[in-house]
Amino acid sequence: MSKSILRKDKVAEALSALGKQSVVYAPVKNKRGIVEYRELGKSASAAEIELDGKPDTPPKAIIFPQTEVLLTYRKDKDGKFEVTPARPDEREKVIFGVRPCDAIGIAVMDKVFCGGKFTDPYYKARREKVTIFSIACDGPMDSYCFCPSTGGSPAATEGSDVMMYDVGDSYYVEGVTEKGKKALEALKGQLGKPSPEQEGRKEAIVEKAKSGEGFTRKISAESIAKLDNSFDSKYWDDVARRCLSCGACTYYCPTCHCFDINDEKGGERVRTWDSCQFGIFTMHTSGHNPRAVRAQKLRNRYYHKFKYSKDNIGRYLCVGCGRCIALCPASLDITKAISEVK
Amino acid sequence: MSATHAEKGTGEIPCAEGEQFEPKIVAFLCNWCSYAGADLAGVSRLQYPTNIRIVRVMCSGRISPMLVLRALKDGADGVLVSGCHPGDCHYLKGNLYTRRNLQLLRSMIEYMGIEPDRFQMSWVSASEGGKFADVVKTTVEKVRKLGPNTKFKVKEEREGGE
Amino acid sequence: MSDLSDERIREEAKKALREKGLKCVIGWSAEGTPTFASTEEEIDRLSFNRSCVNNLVPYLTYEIRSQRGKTRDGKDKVVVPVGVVVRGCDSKALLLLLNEKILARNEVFIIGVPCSGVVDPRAGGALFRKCVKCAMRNPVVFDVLASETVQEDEKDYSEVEAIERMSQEERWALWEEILGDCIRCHACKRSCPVCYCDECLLDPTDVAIKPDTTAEEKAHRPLWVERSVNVPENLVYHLARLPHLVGRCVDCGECERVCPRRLPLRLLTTKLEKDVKEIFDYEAAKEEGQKPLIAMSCMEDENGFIM
Repeated sequence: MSKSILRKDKVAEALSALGKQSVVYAPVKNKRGIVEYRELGKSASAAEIELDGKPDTPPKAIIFPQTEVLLTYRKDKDGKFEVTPARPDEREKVIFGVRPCDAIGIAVMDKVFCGGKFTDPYYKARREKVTIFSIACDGPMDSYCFCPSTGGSPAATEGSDVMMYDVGDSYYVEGVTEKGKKALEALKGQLGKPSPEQEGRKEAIVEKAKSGEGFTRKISAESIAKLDNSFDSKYWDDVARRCLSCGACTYYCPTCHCFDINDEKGGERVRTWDSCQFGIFTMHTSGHNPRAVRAQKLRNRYYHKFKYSKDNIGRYLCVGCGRCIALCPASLDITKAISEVK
Repeated sequence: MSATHAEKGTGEIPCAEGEQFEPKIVAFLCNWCSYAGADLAGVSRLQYPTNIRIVRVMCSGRISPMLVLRALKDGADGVLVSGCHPGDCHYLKGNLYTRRNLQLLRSMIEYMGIEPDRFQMSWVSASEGGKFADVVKTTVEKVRKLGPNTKFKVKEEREGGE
Repeated sequence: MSDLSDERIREEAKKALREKGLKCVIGWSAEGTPTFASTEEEIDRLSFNRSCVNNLVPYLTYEIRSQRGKTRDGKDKVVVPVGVVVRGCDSKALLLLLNEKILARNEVFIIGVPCSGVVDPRAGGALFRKCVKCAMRNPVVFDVLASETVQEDEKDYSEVEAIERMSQEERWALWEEILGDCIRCHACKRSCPVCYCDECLLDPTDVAIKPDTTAEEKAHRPLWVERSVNVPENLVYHLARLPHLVGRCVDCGECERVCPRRLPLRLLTTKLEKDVKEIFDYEAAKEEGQKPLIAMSCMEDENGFIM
């Protein structure tokens, strides 16, 4: 069953079949027109899902929530502390309709949280329960996409468990990992055999993806290589002049994974997203802030995406989804900033 | 993860079924008039509800909207701010500034769908022990009618792409 | 309108650059991106059209305030003036900053552009909601005006009034949903032209610590809003932003424009402006030299709900 066909009118049926064993998240348009991942059956129904186009938010919050309670503590009458670790979410989860860039984003986060010497138990517990169904893109989804420049591709399978290709009135479905193949077994009733024509269309999508055709936004490898010598360049002051130091780019990035841990009122230790663009991010206890001004903060974000990560985990952190370009209140453009580096 | 917030002890007064709800009210009283008024109510042995927790401040002008909001968020069912009558402020104008600021805060609270009666203000002078007792009675009555303050409490954790 | 005013903007900007020795002129490029032009060549790229959506005043404040400070012998540093292109709504915010003495009039060179609305890129070519009916199309403070003034509308309070008419439960349902959607990226606050504090009490991610800040002070610094993102924290965040904008917010709608969650934040600021007008008969940045609302004490104010 590794190569099969799922007709588009059977998607809802397939989702409810998946929903029998696990919680299903899929892109749904919210009240204000933002397409984001929602839990089906809870805050959205299968009829509302939007599988065409790139969702406006990445699925990272399902595995790495913005606010996560790590433990609770309480002081009893004798002054002793009672600490209760948070129970991990035990439910199996399926994320349906992920785009390849976002799936790569999750694969990159896996490397950060689980790939090195240390493993983040909270992330790992969630991650292990997640199966990712991706849909390959047929060329760029919008004018902001630039995944071929960052080592991705509109049909990349990295990070995905099941890959789907839009072949007209059906999806060509292929299990990528063991986990994905197992998940497909639950869909036996909905899957059919692909016709040679459908095989052909799928191959066409893969071929088109390899050529990188249709992408107007690009970052060349040469300009990324220039980053090695431009750390002290005045260029960054000019780029960052427009930056407002808000966290929109980092909160919407499929790979931004920085967090902060605080003890909050009521006895909770909470982990929340943090952003390198915020003032306190690198603040030392001494009061010294090594990245105090906008240019330093923005430069760090770009370097982290394209240089430090390459040195440390062997891969760009940027996956080329283009959300930071689309959402930046000051129309900052990461592709332009890196391409024009001096 | 869901149980953790429910266990969060923010000092809700437990009340058995059939028992009257006893609201917890934080009262910010200015040192020169209202606190003295409360004192007078006490020495005059006037009876008033015990639901208020008094915080003495030097002037009602010190009460920033943040203090009101934070009290509500941290579990108070109502907030009372009390100062000198206009013109009697020990610092001449503190209560006038507060009147401007907090009037708008109350309007905004109401606009956002929070019961405006959770936030009360009064002018009580040092000689008005009786008025202080009345103000507390009225405040407690109004807040009791509204029931516990739930809008500033975490309902459920959001998870996933929301 | 655009070609003529573009020429005028460039002409005036060049003249001021030469005569007043401006550090740079902050304007928009033809694509609508904020641009900092410090040479005549760069000035030729300045433009104003319907895609110029950013309020440039926060950049102006940053450019000028970052020049401030003391020289080694204790004198105030000389501030090189900066030029800026402003629409009607931006100019109101700028006037407020001038009134509050955050910026000095001789530090800024203002090119005003009367504006008949800019286009919301997310709404596919339609005007921003704030631009459909706008009562501040013409700049109120400027050195030169780049084109003829345009007709202004009456201020539109219909959306706010609709919410006021709702029942309390309906209003809470509306706001609970909106607040639940906020991710607290702080874009609304950082883009606000009248927010200029180095340290913001609403923002636990923004602490100004100086070499002489003691450990004691740091430990006892009140944390008004926690880092957790949930409805109550977001409620306090947004509610607490408002008292700081009382009589200061000019309702330019920048917070709503930048919100990546597309939250209708102007419903809050317009209501605030309406209240300020109705209760205190005050309008932010109405005229030069105006005193701030909260700094004026008034015996004659109504007692309202006060017992």
